[in-house]
Amino acid sequence: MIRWISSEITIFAYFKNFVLIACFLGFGLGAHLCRQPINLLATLGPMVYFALMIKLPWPALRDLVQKLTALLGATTEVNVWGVPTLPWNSETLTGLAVMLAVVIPLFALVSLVFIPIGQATARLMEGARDGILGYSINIAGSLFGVLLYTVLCLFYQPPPIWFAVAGLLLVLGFRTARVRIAAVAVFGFCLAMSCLPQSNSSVRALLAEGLETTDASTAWSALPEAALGRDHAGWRDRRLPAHDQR
Amino acid sequence: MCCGLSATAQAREVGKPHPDRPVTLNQTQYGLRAGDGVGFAAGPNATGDRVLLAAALPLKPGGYPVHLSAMQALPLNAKQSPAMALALFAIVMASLFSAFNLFRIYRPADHKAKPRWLSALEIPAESLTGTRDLLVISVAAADDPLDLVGDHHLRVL
Repeated sequence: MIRWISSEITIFAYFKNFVLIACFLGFGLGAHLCRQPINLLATLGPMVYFALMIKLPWPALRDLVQKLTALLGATTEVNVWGVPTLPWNSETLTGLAVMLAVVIPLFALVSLVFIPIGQATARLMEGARDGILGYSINIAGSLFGVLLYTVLCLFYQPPPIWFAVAGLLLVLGFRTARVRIAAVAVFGFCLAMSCLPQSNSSVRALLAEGLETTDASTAWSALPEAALGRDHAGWRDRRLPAHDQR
Repeated sequence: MCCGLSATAQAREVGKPHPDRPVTLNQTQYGLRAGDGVGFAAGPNATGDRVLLAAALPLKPGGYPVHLSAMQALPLNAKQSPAMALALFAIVMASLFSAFNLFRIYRPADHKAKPRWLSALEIPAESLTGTRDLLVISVAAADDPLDLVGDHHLRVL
């Protein structure tokens, strides 16, 4: 989730902690609400929304998502995507308001995704007879997840594979038939949407600007995203500026 | 207003491919040093009403094709299309509607809702309404009613 949104909505490639904090907030809320019934709609609903927002081949939407970066970048003193610092006036304030109107609900939806996951995790830990053992298993599971994701990155697996793996884990984790059907349907939808070619054409165009590319492709490496293009000097790698922040 | 101007195909003499990278221009002033692997630099002047083009010192005299392009058009001064306004309205309303309704799942119970300790003890709330019979459970030793879940000896007064 962190990597996908950060790569597709370029402003979050700079403010990567924005999505991270939303995830922690949702997970913490889920732990707090662990005694309430788990409703996976909170996870699956926003997933559909993000898939549509990021991948829907609607040119106006694609342009809008691309320009979110400029709307925020124009009001900061941080150089973001080459957007210069502009004086505070009605136009920049309007742009900032528009950006916030999009980003604040987005933050809430990212948090919602992790509430049921936090509920399930906290419920398992609370029900464990040995709390230390339960927490140790939780940490081991986290490390296993990191390792699994690293393996996916090692082989340059794109987001459809991520959705396939995450959907499989969700199906295996919940035994209710209704939940499994919903998980398969939603993750299948997200997988299909992430296969659409218009995914991050705006990012690709931005990265390939200035290169006389004849053949461009997107590779999902261990870093967020890299657009590769063949120019006269051979393969040239132009990564998102977020890499420079690492 | 354009931002992030880049002079592509810069530093490339006619007929000679040059491996230098194009420069992304996002400031109002640039300095070119002799020996820099930069061909041409373009950018707005201090007042922002002109675009300046500068050549690096190592360049040999001659004709150079220079292609100026804008990496990203700042939308603030541009006329937004109705389709983009519709897209903005759609994603904002959809996200607000989704977030509001999904958070309602976790809203705190109101006063008329069944008390949590009744749920924990699997006592139907209906059994306590419309009747004068009261079921009183000793909870003196429990900070959390959920701790009572399990086998207990109940004292009915």
